[in-house]
Amino acid sequence: MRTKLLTMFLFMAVGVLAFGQSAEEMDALLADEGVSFARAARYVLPAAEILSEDVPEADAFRAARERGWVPSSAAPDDSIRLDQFSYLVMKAFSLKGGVCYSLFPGRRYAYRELLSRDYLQGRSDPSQALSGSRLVLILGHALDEREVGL
Amino acid sequence: MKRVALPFVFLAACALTAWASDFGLALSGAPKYGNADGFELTAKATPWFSALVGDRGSLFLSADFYLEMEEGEAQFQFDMGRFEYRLVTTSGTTLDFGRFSVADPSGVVVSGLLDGVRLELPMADSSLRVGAYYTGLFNKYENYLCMSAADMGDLDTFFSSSRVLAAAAYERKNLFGEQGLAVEALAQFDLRSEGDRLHTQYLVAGFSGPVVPGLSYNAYGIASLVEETDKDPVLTGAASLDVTWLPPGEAADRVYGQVRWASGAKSDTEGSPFLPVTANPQGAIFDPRLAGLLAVRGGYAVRLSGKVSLDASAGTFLKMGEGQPFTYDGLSASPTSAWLGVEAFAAARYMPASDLALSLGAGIFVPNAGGAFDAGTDPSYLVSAAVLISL
Repeated sequence: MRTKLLTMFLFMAVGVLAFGQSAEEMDALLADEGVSFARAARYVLPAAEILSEDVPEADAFRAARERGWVPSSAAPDDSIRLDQFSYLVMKAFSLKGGVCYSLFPGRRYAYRELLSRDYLQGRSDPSQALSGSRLVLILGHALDEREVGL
Repeated sequence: MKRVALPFVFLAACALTAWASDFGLALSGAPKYGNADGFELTAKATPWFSALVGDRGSLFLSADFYLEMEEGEAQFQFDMGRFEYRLVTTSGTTLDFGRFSVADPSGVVVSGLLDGVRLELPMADSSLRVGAYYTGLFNKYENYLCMSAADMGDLDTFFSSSRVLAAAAYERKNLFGEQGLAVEALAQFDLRSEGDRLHTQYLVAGFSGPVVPGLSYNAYGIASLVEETDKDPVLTGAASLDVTWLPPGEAADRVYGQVRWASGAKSDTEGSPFLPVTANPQGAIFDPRLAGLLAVRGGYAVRLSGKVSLDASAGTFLKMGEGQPFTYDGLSASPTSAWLGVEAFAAARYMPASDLALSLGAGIFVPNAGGAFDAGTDPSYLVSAAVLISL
């Protein structure tokens, strides 16, 4: 339990520094048990250095939809699923997937790829709602790998 | 088939309550060629399904479909793979039900898939684990559940012999410094209704932990009682030692050593060798179970570039006690030496992608011809390959 809390604290610190967010905004994110598409895009795209750090959620969502990184039928306030978020992260960070992802790029194999990279820990399932704390952990892994050059 | 269907129906019912799921198919092909058995090919398809059940449960189902080609003949086999329902409570207590991986702390008595139920209670620096398992629902020809000659007696029977295994374990981390203690008591009961029965009990105890930074070990001793029909109980023993050294430097490599010992019988008709529940092979080419055997192995493994890993090892074997605790072509009926021979094996594994793995292995076993083996027994060599893709 202590390790988990320390990890969460470190990722919060990473979030504040890397994502350029205020502590209040980070608190709100960590308390969110069902992150929306717009909120997810608002954190992923700046973390991947595609948009500026202070981009509004609506603009981030529009940018992600224009690129085809979120379903065309999704509304900004809809809850994003874990497999949909996996696809957003794979695309935003240009992560290389497995053979199946290369042949059939989509949320199913994006989820599998993040699972194989240990980005997703604990109980997980493709259709799970994404919590704010999990979003921070996944982005932390993606930023770590980009720094190492993987 | 009714015996197989019942737990599957239960777990399928759990699947109906699942509110989230994933599924897939793993395909593998493994050709191999050796001078002993010629060319063999095993192609396997493993469909699987996983789901979260409620807020605390999870379900995993899989099945194995094999096509085996041996000596020019193809045979189709089927067995249920891992199927497991797991429930984790808020206090961390874990309940497993179904077919899942079971192993005692040493890995010597039992190591493999078993059907049953297991409860694990975590405490501050320790845990308590109890379980009950059954062996009679497995495909007899595709697992290592063979303890006695009677187990393989009826070749027309699909299922393994009926045995029940009860186990209770206690593990304590950081008992003194970083050393951990593990103790487990196991009891195996033979449920066959006719013929000779074989019951066994085991007490496993040992320690594990770091010696110095980069050097760690696991060391276990096992005392076992073997009870056969119309025979006095026999006390037997076994031991295991694993040492791993991570050399300093940037390379992701390790040097490892392993010793496995199991007592043998006093004579052809008196006593009994140590008998493990799962007859896991102790070598890559020379593959006896750990019964009446001393096996010593050392090796080196390294991971290169994150996609390629290499492993090379060599070992030697000695027979313990008398009688025939294991079978292998060429073993002498009247050996003049306990030394069985030496084996070397090397393997390379390449994972170009997260869902694709390729491996290649080659090795040789040089028997002690004229000693433990019949004079003129040739060395055995084996070349193997495998490809695995996950869809």
